[in-house]
Amino acid sequence: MELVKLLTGAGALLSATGGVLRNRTLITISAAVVMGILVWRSFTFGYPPIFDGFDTLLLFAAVFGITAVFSKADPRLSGVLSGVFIGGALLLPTEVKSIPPIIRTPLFFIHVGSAIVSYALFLSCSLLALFSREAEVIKPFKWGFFLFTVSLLFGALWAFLAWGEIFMLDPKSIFSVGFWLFSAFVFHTLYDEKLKNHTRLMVVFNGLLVIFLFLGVNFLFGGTHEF
Amino acid sequence: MSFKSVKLFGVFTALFLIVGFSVSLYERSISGLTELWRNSETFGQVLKISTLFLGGALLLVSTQTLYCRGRGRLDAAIHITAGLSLLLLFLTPFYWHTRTLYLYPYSYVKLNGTTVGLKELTFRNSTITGDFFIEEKKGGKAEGNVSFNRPLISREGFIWIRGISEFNGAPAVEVKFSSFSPVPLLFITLFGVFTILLGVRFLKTGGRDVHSYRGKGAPEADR
Repeated sequence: MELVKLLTGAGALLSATGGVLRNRTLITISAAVVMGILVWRSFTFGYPPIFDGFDTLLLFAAVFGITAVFSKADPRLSGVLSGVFIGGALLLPTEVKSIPPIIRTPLFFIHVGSAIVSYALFLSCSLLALFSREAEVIKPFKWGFFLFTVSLLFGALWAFLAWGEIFMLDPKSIFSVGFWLFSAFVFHTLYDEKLKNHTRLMVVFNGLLVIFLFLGVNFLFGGTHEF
Repeated sequence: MSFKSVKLFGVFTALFLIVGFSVSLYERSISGLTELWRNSETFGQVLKISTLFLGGALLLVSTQTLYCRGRGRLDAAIHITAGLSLLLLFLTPFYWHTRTLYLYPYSYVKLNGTTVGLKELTFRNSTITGDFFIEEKKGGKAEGNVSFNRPLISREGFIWIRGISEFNGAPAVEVKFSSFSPVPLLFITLFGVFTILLGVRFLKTGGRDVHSYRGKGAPEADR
């Protein structure tokens, strides 16, 4: 068996054990192991492998584990779920698709990398808001918003340098700005006497929008973000 | 209802998302904001109206963001930079226009008194580099190398290489040119400042859940 799969399996077991024993330290160690695998693979391939299912799922699992620990979510739920996500990656191929040299610029990796981590944060918040009532989800949600803002900034900068545009009227760009506005609206609801009671529900809905933005937009509409 | 209302912000956001859906559904040839002034002539009626509404929603959000300042200087600076960034995005199709040109080595094009030309074209390690110049009627001149991801940015104008093709054995370069416009530079600067300030704000407060602290003495929660 490949070393990467052995380490991934170990990470899944650690997380699940942490869940069963209600031990947050084990869940944190599991997330650190998974992050270690991603860093190691980044050095092996020469760029962060964030464009295939295996690494994307591992990244999401690690972000979910860390978010669950910091938001003081139920450790049983977070450990077991994180273990399932890491274990799910074992079913996916570990090969990394080569990306065209023209998009191998630091701007691209910051643009896509920060977007994927922010998606993982938003989805984690969504799951925790749905299943763990005690979890404080707004704090990680705001950091998700910040990382998504970083992604938009570097996307605009790269588009300006590469194509002489700061914004394309393509589905992904339009929905990204719409999603960014909606995320801002979600944490602003805390300042409204009536809406503040529905904030967690909106965090859950925000997670659904992430799935649409990540998987649905390019599939349904196409556009310049298809690569 | 106050213009600062969070509910109103929600309505503007929903409007943006719904109209955005319509634009995505009807637009088949992707257009950048800088080419919208020319491409919009080919848009159908639904797409024209949707694009107008999309711009309107953006203008409403930016005006509301500028109007809502939060509390304290940092909050005010965050709202001002965010509002101005969105306003610049709205203004882009009006104040920054680009044109696509095709140039051979040692050829030039005259555009409203400005000459845009290509001197040499170099192919090295799968990278194409062009030696371009922009000459203004008034006497201003800018020269520089341009390749993918590395445009010529000068007071006289901007040049990007978009692609390369061949005609009768000679390489023709697809070039994008625009006269100097402060809009993109201002947008990137303002949005960059906004991003930094947002990070500072979240670091200062820890991005904490004001809802869970409400009534427990956290000043932010009791606003």
